[in-house]
Order: sequence, then C-alpha cells, then structure tokens
Amino acid sequence: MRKFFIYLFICIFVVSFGLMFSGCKGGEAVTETTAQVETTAVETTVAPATEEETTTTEALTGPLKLFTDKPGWQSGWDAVFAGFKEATGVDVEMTGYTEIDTYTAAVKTGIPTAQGPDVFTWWSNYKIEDLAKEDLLEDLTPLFEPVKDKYNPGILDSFSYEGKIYGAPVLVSSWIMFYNIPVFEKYGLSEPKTWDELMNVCETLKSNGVTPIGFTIGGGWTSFFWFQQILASNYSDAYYAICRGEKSWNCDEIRKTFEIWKEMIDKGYFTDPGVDLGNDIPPMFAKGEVAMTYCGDWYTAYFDAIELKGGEDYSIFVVPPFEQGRPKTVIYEAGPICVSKNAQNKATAKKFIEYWISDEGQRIWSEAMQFVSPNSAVPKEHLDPAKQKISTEIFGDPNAKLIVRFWEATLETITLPACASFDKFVLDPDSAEAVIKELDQLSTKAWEEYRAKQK
Amino acid sequence: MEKELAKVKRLGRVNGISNYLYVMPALIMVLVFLIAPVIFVIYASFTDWDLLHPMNFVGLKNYINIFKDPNLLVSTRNTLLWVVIILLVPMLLGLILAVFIKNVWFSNQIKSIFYIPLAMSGAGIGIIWNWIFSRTGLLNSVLISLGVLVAPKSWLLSSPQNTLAMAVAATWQVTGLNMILFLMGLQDIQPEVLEAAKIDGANEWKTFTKIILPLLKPITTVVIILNIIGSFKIFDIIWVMTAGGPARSSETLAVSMYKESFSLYRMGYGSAIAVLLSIIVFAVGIGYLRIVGREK
Repeated sequence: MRKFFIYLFICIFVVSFGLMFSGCKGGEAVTETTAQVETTAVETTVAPATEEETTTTEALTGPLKLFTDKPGWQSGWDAVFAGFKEATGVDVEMTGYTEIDTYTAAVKTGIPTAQGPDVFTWWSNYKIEDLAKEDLLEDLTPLFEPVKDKYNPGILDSFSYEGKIYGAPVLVSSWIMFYNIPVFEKYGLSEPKTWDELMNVCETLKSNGVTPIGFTIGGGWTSFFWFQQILASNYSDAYYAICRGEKSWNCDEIRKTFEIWKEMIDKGYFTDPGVDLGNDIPPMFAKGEVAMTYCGDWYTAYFDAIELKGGEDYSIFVVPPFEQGRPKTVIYEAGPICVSKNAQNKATAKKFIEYWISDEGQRIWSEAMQFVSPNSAVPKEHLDPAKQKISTEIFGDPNAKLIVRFWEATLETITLPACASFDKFVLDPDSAEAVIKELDQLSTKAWEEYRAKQK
Repeated sequence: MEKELAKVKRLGRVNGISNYLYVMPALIMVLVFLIAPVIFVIYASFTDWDLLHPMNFVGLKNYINIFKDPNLLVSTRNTLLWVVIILLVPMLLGLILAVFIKNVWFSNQIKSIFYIPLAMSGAGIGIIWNWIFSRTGLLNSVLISLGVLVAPKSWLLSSPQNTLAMAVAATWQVTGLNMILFLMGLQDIQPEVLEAAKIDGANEWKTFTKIILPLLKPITTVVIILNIIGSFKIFDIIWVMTAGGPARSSETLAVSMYKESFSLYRMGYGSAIAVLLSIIVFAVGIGYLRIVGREK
C-alpha cells in the first residue's frame, strides 16, 4: 500500500511538473501550436480573397477578449466597444494591466495558447517583429486594403514584418515640446525655430527664475527623452544605425549628443531629475515654475487632469536641430493593437480590427480620447488647438521627417538597461565617456544574443 | 488468535491508507506549487529561456555571467547593506522597545501601535515612504520649514542614500514584529532569576547584559534568522520606491532577479540569480543555526 501511494505521488509530481514545463517552455510550445494553426489556416483560407470572405461570413463568437496595458483610457475603450457592439452584437471583455512587466509576461505566455487574449495592445517595430517572427500574430494586411490610402504608410510600416501588417494603430504620438503660453508671453518669448533660439529662450527663462525644461529620470525609463531627440534630429542615419546594431555607440555622433546634453544640464536648463513625470511636472508647469517640457503628445492627458487647456494655457513646437540644414524631425511612437494567431474568437477579432480602422471606429476613438487619428478621413474639429497644430504641423506636413522612438527603434534588451546608463550620465554629466563605453558593451552583447537566437 | 491478528493487520492497513489520504491534499499542493516550480527554476537557470524562443541548454553560462555582471556586484553590495542594517537597527529597536514597555501599564497600546505597520503590505509602506521622501513630501517640507534645507532634495536619487532611506521604511515595518518576539522571550524569563540577581547585588545594566540577554538567546536566534531571510528577499518596498534605480543603484539581488526575468525577459539568467539567492539564504541560515547549536 505504501508503495502504491509513493508511486501515486511520483506520478502526480511528474505530471504536474511536465504540465508546467510544457506550458512554460515558450518556443517549443509555440512551434507545436503554430503548426496546428497553420493547418487550420490552410483549410479555411486558400487565397487572400477567400480569407476576407472568411472573416466576413464566419459566425462571430464572443465575448472578444482584449488585453491592454492602457486601462486608463477607459472612456475611449468604452466608446469603441459600444460602437462595435452596435455594429456586430458582440461584447468586448477588457483585461487591463497597469504594470508593463506583468502585462508583457501575460501576453507572451498567453498568445501561444488559445487561453490568451484575442486582441491586445502592443508596441511597434522590434517589439511587434519579435512576435511576428514567432508566428504568433495574425496577418492583418487584407483588412487594410480598403482603407490603406487613409493611413500613413510609414506608420503602417512600424507594424509590419516582411511586408505584412500585424497591427492597427491605437496611438500615434509625436514627441514635441509643450510650452506654457502665459509664461512665454510674460517674458516676450516666441516659439523657437532654431537651436540658438531655443537656447536663448532657455537662458531668458533661467535668468528670470523659471526652470526652462521639465525632465526626470524617475521611474527608470524616462532618461532617454533628450538623448533620442538630440541624436535623431541631428544624425538620423546614425540614430537608426545605432538602434539597429549596425554602428557602434562609440562614435562622434553619440559624443556630440552627450556634449550638447551636458551643456544643457550644466546650464541648469532642466528640473531636478528626481521630480515625477506625472505627479510633479504638470503642476510645476501649470504654476509657471517650469516653462516647457518634452514628451509624447499623450502627455496632454496629464494637463487635462489639472484642467490646462490646449491653445490657451499651453501649446507645442517641434524641437529644432542644432545642426544647420537639417529637416524638421519629429520622433513618433506608434502603438498597435494586434490579433493573436491562436485567438479563440479569431473571426470576431478580425471584425474588431476592421471596425477599429474604419472611419467610424477611428472617429469614435479620436473623439473620446482627444487623440489625433492616423486615419486622414477622420475630422479634426473636435480637437483642441494644440492637438490640431500637431495634426497639421506634424502629421500633415509632408516635409516633416518622422523618426521612430528609441523605445521601439531598438531591442527591448537594450532600451531599459540603456536608460540606466543615461540615468548615470544625468546624475554625473562628466561620466559621458564611461557611459558611452557601457552602452557600447551593452549593445554589442544584446545584438550578439539577438542574432544567435535568429539562427 | 489468527483471526484477531488478521483483523488487527487489516485495521492497520486501513489506518495506513487513511493516514496517507489525510496528508495527500497538502502533499499534492506542496508538490505542484512548491517542489515542481523549484525544480523548474533550477532547470531554467541552465537555459537561455526568454518566454518567446525555444529554451536552449547553456550549461553554467548564466552562473558565470552573474560573477561578470557589474550590476550584480552592486545588487550584492546593496543586499549585504540591507542585511547589516536590518540586523542592527530594527533588531536593536525591537529589543529596546520590548525591555522598556514590558512593565508599563499601557504596553498593549504600544504593542498595537508598533504592530500596525506589519499588518500593512510592503507595497503600501513603499507608497507612504515614497511620498515622505519625495521632493514635495513630508521630509522636505519639514526640513525646509525648519530652515535645514533651502530647496527640496531628491532623497531617492543617490546611492547609498536611497538604500538607507528605504531601510528606514523597512525598519518601520519590522520593528514591531521584533519587539513582540523579544517580549515573548522576556515573559519566559522567571522573575526568581531576576530577583536572585538583584539580591546578589547586580545593577540594572548587569542584570540586562549578564542575565536577560543570555536568556534571550533562543528568541534572538529566531529574530536573527527571520531578519536575515527578510532582508535577503526584500523586494516590494524597493520596487515601489525606486524600482532599483536610478541607474540600478538601489537594486538588491531579489530586485535584479525580477528585473532580469520580467523586464528584460532573461528568464534563464533571472532563474540563476534566484537559485544563487536561495543558496545564499539557505547557507547563511544553516550556518548560523550550526554556530548557535555548537555554542549550546
């Protein structure tokens, strides 16, 4: 009898361990699931046209499971979900995560199985590429065919891998300088068009006891802001080459970037780096203690929260490059919503994306969130003057050069550790050489690991 | 006779089965939720698992990298700093409080006050103390109004000041537990022993150092072990207050383990740190208990 129980325990142990192991095995489990999905795909879709037909005629099952790291955008989600329900009769069940690491782990472990989300928000470029390479994402190219002309191809490229589109835009945000209109008026300042003018603005503000620019390293991820702006707006080729691991960090362009940045720090143009991005800078900006702050245009949500009005209390301008003759360069970030290849409600998920990218879906989202829609057919009248300015002067300007944000432009094994290195530089601006060396080593190692995985 | 023997045997067998059935639920839970994950983490520590790609066996590479990683050196230094601080400050404070409140009439109220922080989650404590140490927080406001500071200071930006600030928060949390444990130890000391010491002419200090402290040794062992383990695995307060930053300067081994695993998705490397951390805690715990045992 004792033997029987011992064997039973061993069996339970082996089975539970085996189950856990196969569930967590990542890549190997992915391969198996993928093979099954591919078989299904062959059976249901013969050609793109048939696939389109499949999505429209297939019965819609629900509720659709949506995972997002942006649960704070509740009003926007609710509005779109209501519109989608009206159009299809299907409910959307949202699971929100406020912690990025937990969210990423939940998605990465969920989408290789049918238990994961049907649709989920993600990040562009390398981050979406990682999932597409592992065949975890549904190809959305056919869904974009009817509306492709309304979307900037550069933005869709951020969600593409090997010519296929794997995401629909949830957020397309430009990185610009916000400035306090009353403070600028008080000191007779105007929007700077050149780097020298920007430095003059900073000097005037500083001499009048106003901190020119709100900037922080708090939270561990914000220190790349000025690095990316200075490098990308002046040396865009070098920026991309460095981000893609094709060029060493140990180069003149990086040195010059740190030199300019150090000069700004030394002159006291930034706030104490210990301030909080969301809790400290907006009230300081509202009180006029800080006159400008550089961030993605989603930062207006913080201004809205303290009832600052775009066009009245604040406006925006594009940070000019210090190198002469450079085009107007704007960093942008694009956040997609993707469909899991193993989605339980795949037909509904595709229908949701179809609705999401339609004029109607985008209008609802833009009105509820006050976001500039990447769909050019969506009217802009509901946006405040600052947002309209972003729409016309950045996304509507054919001469504006859009460059992908550092966070998405390089590997995720580089971004966060690089921010730790930038933190070091901000706290000790004389450490530039040591920081460059550290960043170079970090990049070399990360790219070696990445390339080894691709083999 | 044989019949009775067979009956006894059968009863014994039935009892044997029921014994196993009683422990089975707990055993299954332990196997599934403790032993299996532990073995899995040990296995993962020898791979390059990143959640997405296939797990490849990399031998001791992760363990070798730990010793080459400058961030891990900082984490180890900070972890040791935490151990020293937590062993010194909350333990001494707990002992002092226990001795002082043992005989006062409002000791129950004091006990409750010091015990409240222990009932709070580490994350909650982190939020409270983060606000106290923030630029617009209580500490800066008080120091500015007293004229000690001219402008607010970012207490959590420089190392090791940020670790010390977080240790204050942890001290606030664990002092109450230490105090309660020492009070239990003090209550176990027979009053006759203390009276005998008094009759022999021992003053308060001598009684404390020569009688009370040696008699508190068993409970002190428990307190030390609890504090060592607690300080090695400290995570929540750090994660909420600094997330290990700036520049990874306030990370401990537990934070590095989390960051490598869930922020950088180096699950294999994170698992190796977890294994190493467990070995250290285990070795320190066993080593300390052996020393105490030998002294006995």
